[in-house]
Amino acid sequence: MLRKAGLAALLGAAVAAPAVIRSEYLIGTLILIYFFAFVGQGWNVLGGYAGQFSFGHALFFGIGAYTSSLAFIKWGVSPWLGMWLGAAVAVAVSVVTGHLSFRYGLRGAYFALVMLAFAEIFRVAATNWEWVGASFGLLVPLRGNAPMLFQFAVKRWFYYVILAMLLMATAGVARLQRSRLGYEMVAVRENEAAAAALGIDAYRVKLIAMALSAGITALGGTFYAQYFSYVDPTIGFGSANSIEILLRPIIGGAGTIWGPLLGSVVLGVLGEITRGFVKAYAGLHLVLYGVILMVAVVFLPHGVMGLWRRH
Amino acid sequence: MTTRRQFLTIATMATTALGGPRLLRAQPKEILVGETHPLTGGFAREGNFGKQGIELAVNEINAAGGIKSMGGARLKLMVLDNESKPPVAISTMERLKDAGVVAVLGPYASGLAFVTTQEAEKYRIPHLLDVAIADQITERGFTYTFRFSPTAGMGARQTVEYLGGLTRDMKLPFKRVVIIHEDGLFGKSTADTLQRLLPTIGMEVVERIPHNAGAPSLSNEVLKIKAAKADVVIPSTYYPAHSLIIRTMAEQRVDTGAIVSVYGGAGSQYRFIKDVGKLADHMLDGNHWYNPKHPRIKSVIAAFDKAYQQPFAYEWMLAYQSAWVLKDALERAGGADRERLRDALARTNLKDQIVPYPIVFDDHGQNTQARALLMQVQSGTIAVVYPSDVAEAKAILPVPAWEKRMRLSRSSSPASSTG
Repeated sequence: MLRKAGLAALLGAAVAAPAVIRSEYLIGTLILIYFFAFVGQGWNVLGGYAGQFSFGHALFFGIGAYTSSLAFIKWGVSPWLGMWLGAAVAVAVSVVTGHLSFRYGLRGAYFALVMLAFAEIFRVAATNWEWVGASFGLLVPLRGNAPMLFQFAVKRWFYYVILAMLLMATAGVARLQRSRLGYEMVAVRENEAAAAALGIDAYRVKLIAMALSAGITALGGTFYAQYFSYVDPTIGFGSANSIEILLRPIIGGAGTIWGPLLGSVVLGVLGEITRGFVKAYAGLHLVLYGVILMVAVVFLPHGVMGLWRRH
Repeated sequence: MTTRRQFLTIATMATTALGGPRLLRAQPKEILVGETHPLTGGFAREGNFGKQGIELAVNEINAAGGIKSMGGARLKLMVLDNESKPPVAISTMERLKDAGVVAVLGPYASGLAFVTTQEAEKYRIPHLLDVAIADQITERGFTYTFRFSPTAGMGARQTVEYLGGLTRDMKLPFKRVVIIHEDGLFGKSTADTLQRLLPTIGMEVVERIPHNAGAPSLSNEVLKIKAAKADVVIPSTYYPAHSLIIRTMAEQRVDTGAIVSVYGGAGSQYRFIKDVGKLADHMLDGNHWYNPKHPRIKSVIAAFDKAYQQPFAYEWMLAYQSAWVLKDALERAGGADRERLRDALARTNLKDQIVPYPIVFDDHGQNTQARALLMQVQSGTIAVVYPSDVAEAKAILPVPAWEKRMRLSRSSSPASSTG
């Protein structure tokens, strides 16, 4: 009861925020926090619940960003539609990469590396393929304030879009956690052999987790492309992006509903505070940020959510 | 002995006499100017150059009495680090907007400029670019973006034109060109443009050799240059690979008529000369540069060297120039108002600047009169060799053979260790 009231209050605050906050910078910071929480939630399904650590989720992110942008640039398809197209392509690709990885029993570090390799393949391909803009990438043509084309002159609307996306993803994961599939994923994560002995088709469970995860991450890719209106092979498929995606859920608590959002809030606030405080020396804030990150990983192996649960 | 009352009277009089005039005189106003540069991350070196260039210009402007049309208002910089990352670049623009800056300078790299120009348009803040060469930046229909420097396309066209002029004037029979380029955006797009343009000056690209920017060795690539019997070699890549190509060519004694680059990673860079010494000699590069005949340029370079102990680099020069373009527009705007400043910028018409071209903006905010120049490294200095109206030295072509150069350098400086 108290929990529900708390959540409702938080949600109310989030919805009302743009009306109260006059600072573009704060709104922009919140947009990025929600955005990273959203793609982090995508990663969380596979990496957190099913326990398959992917180091190449930029693969799906890039596919989402590229597909919707290309559909818009080449055929005039609204990115609202394009984002689902991107998710569909990402799901298809994830099933292929997932099949190749899981069919041959790749686990742990090997799975992480093979995903990294897949993302790199797409990065190199995108760099050399003229039709998708090659190394230049894609500039989404700007149409001013065009809500039907996922373009807004005012930041507030991007805020509501990403807030809605985050709510849906979080609600979806909450349902997943209580579903049969969710329990099967956790079983596979904790002990794959034992899960198989109980009659769980680990291959199937992992593949479904991969597809769900890819689809969500790809939707985030479209949001990025529309918000920044520019994507290139490194932004889309680069390994730095893969790491950005998995950082939040791991810091917040992988395999928990609120982990990605919590991690994103912590990192977002931390990043802005260190940035604001140590202005005198360029780069010092990144050092500080890195140190805090290391401390968090060493002392909070289950993320910030783990801290919560211990009490 | 003075009474308390007397003391008060004297004190009041003294305050009025000494402090009064200071209070009455109008305080010089401050104009807040925003700046977003990559001070950390992949572009940190260039971003810090940009920051220093703007700092130098703003100090000069303030020392000379600020903006006269606004009662000597001083420029006050708000410098933010965008960490070479587009998402951070967006948030720097938001913070500058919140702070109420009148204009934004920066952001050096094209990938960052795509984001910052778009934000500037959204918030209607005049945005004056320093380097960011991608043509597309001023092709998106923005009205608050201004770029006085040449684009990637302009630089490539002009360099090819200069090369054509040079070989014609010197009657050099250069025909066969090999382009060795990194496979990312910069190297590949430059290579594409050159391949299209070179036939217009009677040259033909006989081979394109792509390489990875992070390749530890380029021996095989350089062997291919040798096999192609190139008259002209064009490296189109970043600093480490560019430097490696030159060193490997020297090692393998691969002789060509000319080595030319367009916005080359190691072209027109004093740090390259510092790193490789005489090997840098004779390299040609079409790039941003200053007008060597401008009366003020020597003192500007000396002032920068004094302040930051750094040699000349076009990155800081363009940032320095951008602050002066802003100063001129602020004078004409007569008020720290974004709309008036935008209109004033659009009507910019500057002639006598340290850059070798007039500054006038077209409807897209691009200075179509901007130009790159062709420089050659000659005995450790970078000299403008083309076009002739600004040339300070004659080009040395064809490049002497490595064998001869090595021998010369050994005999001329017996004390130096050649490693």
